[in-house]
Amino acid sequence: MNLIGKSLLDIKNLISSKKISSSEVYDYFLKRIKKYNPKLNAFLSFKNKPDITKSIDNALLGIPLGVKDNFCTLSSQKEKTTAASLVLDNHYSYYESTVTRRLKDNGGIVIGKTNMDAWAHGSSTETSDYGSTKNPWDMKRVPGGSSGGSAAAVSSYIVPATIGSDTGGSIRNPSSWCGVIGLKPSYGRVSRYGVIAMGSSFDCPGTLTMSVEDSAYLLKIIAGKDKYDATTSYEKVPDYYSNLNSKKKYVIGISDEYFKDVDNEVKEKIINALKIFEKQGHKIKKIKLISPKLAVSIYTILQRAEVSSNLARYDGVRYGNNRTYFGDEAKRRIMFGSYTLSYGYYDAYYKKAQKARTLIIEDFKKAFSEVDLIISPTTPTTALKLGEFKKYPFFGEIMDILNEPASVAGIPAINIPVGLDSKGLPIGLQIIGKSYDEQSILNLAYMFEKETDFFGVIKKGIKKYE
Amino acid sequence: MKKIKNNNKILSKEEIIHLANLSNIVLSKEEITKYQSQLTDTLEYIENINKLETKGVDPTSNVLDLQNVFFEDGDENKRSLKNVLKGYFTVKRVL
Amino acid sequence: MNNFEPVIGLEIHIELSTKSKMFCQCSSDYFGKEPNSHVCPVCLGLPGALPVPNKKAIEYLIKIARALNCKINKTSKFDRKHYFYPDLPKGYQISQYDEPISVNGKVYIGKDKQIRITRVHMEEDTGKLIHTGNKTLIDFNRSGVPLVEIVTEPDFSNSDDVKIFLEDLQTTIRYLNVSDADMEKGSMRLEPNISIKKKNGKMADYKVEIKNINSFKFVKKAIDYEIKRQIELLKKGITPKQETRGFDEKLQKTYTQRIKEQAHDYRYFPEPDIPPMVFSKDYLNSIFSDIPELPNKRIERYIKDFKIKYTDAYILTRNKIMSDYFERALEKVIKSLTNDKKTQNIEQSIANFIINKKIPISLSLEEFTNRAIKLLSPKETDINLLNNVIKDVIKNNEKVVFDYKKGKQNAIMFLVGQVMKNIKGKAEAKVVLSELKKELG
Repeated sequence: MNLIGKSLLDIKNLISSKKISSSEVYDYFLKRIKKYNPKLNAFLSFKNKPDITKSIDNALLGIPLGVKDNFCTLSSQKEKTTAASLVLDNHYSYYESTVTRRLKDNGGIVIGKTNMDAWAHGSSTETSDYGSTKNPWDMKRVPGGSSGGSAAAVSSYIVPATIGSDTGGSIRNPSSWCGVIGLKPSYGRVSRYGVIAMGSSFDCPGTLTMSVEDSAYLLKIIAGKDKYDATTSYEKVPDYYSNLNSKKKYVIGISDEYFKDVDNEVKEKIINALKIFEKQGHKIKKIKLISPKLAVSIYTILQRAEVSSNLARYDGVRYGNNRTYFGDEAKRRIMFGSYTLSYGYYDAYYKKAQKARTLIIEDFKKAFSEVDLIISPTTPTTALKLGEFKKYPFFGEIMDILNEPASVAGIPAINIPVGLDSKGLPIGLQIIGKSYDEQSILNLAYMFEKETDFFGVIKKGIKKYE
Repeated sequence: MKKIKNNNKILSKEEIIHLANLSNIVLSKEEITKYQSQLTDTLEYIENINKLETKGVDPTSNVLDLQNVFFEDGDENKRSLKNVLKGYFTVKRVL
Repeated sequence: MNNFEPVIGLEIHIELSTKSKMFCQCSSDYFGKEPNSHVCPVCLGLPGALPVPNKKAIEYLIKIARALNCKINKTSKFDRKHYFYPDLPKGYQISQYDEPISVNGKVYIGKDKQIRITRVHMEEDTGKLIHTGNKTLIDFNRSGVPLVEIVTEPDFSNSDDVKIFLEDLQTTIRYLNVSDADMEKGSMRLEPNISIKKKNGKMADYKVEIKNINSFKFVKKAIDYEIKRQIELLKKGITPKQETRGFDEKLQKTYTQRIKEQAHDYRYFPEPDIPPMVFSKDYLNSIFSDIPELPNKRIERYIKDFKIKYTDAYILTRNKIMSDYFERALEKVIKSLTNDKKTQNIEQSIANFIINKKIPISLSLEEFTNRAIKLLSPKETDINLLNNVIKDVIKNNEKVVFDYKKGKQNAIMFLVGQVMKNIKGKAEAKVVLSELKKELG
């Protein structure tokens, strides 16, 4: 059976109605990975046989998924967890992350680990020690990052859905540049246990999918309190999928600050989308938000400080290789982080950034007393060419300028494709919501999908890989 | 020594070496020079944080409202690596 | 010593006797186990692992802090303390920096010498290193075990006081049942910092930390050696170098540990993986109410209520099991004695029986009471035996009997003595005297 373009839930229905078996589904995607991955380099590793799992009477029925290689996974077939860094080139995890444990407990199968910026440091996947992933829309361009492999894999339909992580835009950015749906849940919504830590107070495991329903469906499976992660919320997990509501009307906030320095073509498509929302009966309201440039500074200081700390354990003694295997970007971030924490500088940088963080949180709280959701472009440009990042000083954070504020505040946000630019590259729109209000974000995204089918962007992307 | 130039600090070689030591990282001569300018660039950008008035503002260490998250002493250990790792880890002799 | 005054502060680490480690469910009972058999992703610092704090460890710390009369802060948090060393798997230790659980306590040594406690905070232990040949072996069984750090102000001026303080601290902690506080096993560790100032002068601008004192018996020796070493330098006009020194047990000297002492930049920042702690009054009160009567209060009570000597009260209370037993035994004995036998200071007598080991406390209370009552009762005399002995004594001491009958009253005391000697304590002097008088007429 040709599954091309079928969403995860479509496939699930086919399996449960016995039109196809889960092993046939696995073989189907395995074939596609073998065919397209050599060029795309979306997967760092994949398995020729599925790991044995219960594939009946559960939520995922043996459907294969891609998982970003910063999630610790166990496999009877020996599967590495490298974070795309040579430091962990020989690292086989001794334990399973909570997210992948939950997926597996629900019948999901990890078909392979996807490529990423090494240690999640970046917005292009070019800092991977295993070569960059290519953007499926244009092989001379980057997919975005750091979950570039996860985004490219879904965009080219070599796997129906993937798991990524978003610290300062790492799911939203590549989702925007690859034209897929990327969800960053609220901080604390999904367990970080078993996710190689980058910015401990920012890291959010999330989903990359081809439909909003898939995103809602997967979120329900992976979200919720975990006793092994003290920073997970006790907030109940709604049935996001069953609760998808296409009737609710929302007040949507727009801030001029988030449209500064944005490509005109991108702006155009966002404004176009806003018109569609208005037509649907939602209200658009102008609001004032603190400039994202300031959030970038806050994020850069705090994230790099946490990075310098989280990477201190990699000394090659108990696992992996020693610190001489660190790449350029990792070294840069570690040292910058050490600087802002060091004696004499802590107050001026780290502490100052923590206080400024409070201001951003309050700023969003204030905005959400006036509006239900906030919309902005996801990225200021569409996908850059390979190597182009060298002209930007601290590339990662600049490209994620519109994503970092939500990361700083710990609130949820999603990317949905809303058109293509004149180069034929996907344009992404970001919907930001209140803490633990993923439902509203998903609802609005769902309404857009039903109305426009994302202007065929996702279908167009997959068509290139038919 | 820090050189002050128009309120912008340029990181000195010594500072980079000190940071590398603090971070347990070994740098080549070229890297020291490279990072001097790159880290300085980053510092310049983030200076804009001083535009924000933070007097009297509490720092946020945690975006969540959580407090008092514990585990019960004596809980079953489901994550033991007892039979997975055997024996000592070794390093070159430490002073 | 003349005009030099030692200034000593202490940093003490107590390993708690919780079942689990501080941030994971591995057993904290690591002593003597196979290397790396009590480890998990968390205490090994594996990629992606996260800490969750042990509730009981916090409660144990609060008990210790309360026993040291500290203030418990309403809110507290963990911080990361960064440095690189092979026994520190994460490259940082989860500890507490600017918001420790408790501060500002005080204890008294002896009657009125006050020692101020700066702070008591929570942290985790490191792995163990074994140096052999050109390699170092690492065992992480101990990594993550809960440690309580107690810091005192530099209020000590001599090693005797330090020893008393440590002994009292050890006893108190054992009463609380939160650690076996054993220096030889490493569950109580001491690092004194020592400097010398001129009497009535200002504090020295250096201090020397001593590490590696592994036994109670070396505490005094290490500190005294270091004081002497510093004074000798100062007499020559040399200021002792600020450094960390180790103590060599064999040579009984302190020695330089690091050639170049670099001040550590620990780059503390709040631990993002652990939400802060907030202690409500109710929560704290429930912990406080679980604290038993502590040794110093017990001593006061023994002196006041039982009227036993301070030194004896001190000895009895060194061990909670012993003093609990003492009180229960005392109660039982008093109940069992009939009114006329309740003489003098029974409490002191029972105390003596226990301290002098006249009656072992391994006996059941029943048996203890029986033996105690026997020892407390006046002796019952065997009259027949007594009369036989008296007859013998009279027969063998004709001259003295003659003297007595002639009117020399005191001569009978000699006879009493002889009877006592021969009857081997099986009669009371009063009874012997009256029987002799009867016999002699």
